[in-house]
Amino acid sequence: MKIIFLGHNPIQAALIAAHIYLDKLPSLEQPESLEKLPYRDLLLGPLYIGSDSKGNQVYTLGGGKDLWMVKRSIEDLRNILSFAAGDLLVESVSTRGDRILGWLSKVPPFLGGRHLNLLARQILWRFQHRVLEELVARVKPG
Amino acid sequence: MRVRLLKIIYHCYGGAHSSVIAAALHLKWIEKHRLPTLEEMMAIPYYDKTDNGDFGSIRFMGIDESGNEVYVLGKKGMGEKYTHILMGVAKIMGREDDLIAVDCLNRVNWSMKLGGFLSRRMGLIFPGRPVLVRGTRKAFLTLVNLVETVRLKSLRGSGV
Repeated sequence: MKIIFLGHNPIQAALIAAHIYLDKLPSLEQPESLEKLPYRDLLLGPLYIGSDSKGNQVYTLGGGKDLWMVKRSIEDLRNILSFAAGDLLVESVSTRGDRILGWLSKVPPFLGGRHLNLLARQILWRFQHRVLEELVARVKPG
Repeated sequence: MRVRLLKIIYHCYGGAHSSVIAAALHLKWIEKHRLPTLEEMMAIPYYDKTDNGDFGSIRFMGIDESGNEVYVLGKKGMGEKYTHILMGVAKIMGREDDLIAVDCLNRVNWSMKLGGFLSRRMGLIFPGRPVLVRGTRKAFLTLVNLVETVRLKSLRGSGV
């Protein structure tokens, strides 16, 4: 099964949820592989984060403002491609911190947008995971 | 050679105008060599008939002469990013080669935007629809061009 944590962007709440699911937290550090990537490069499709003990592959995905809309499209696409609900699970993840990151991403690079974005990511990462454990419990059996 | 049947999704802001016209062109429901009339456009399923509850829903339009399934989708202002999302999900499912997602939003002109906003968002069929139809006719040839490109791509993708 593939599990997609769908956030406003793929590298904040959704990424933390994926890490909680994979038992990689508690950790206050962002994964090194994602830390330096430009924000916009991360918005182009599902990001593979890891696999659980049962072989389920976990991804994060950025869906912009309207997560319900993207979730519906992915579920429709799953049906169109003739996959069962158990083959692909999409779970929306949203916190206020993601919105802040979204706003900062609109600051152009010449005004320090990239640095602001990286700084905000590091700060938000330290606080968001506390509110996501309950959500992940819905996805994670037992 | 085995022929692969594709799923082709045309997407635009509301899934009610440019994507629907593109799908209708793809399915040859309207002729590409002349501008469609109001009656012809209104006869196309979903043309100027969707509401806010339809956003994100991938709706079946028909099957083309090669057997490919054609769909339409409204994705608000997300533009080309939606193509990346759909293709990315298909890729992780191992079905990237079976899907073509086509952004029609960049073919939409101001008359279509204004007319679509008045008709769908504000519920003002008049004057929204006449403005919309005028805009659709102005954008028609660019949509024909887009669909022809997609049809060629689908022929290559399906192994024909």
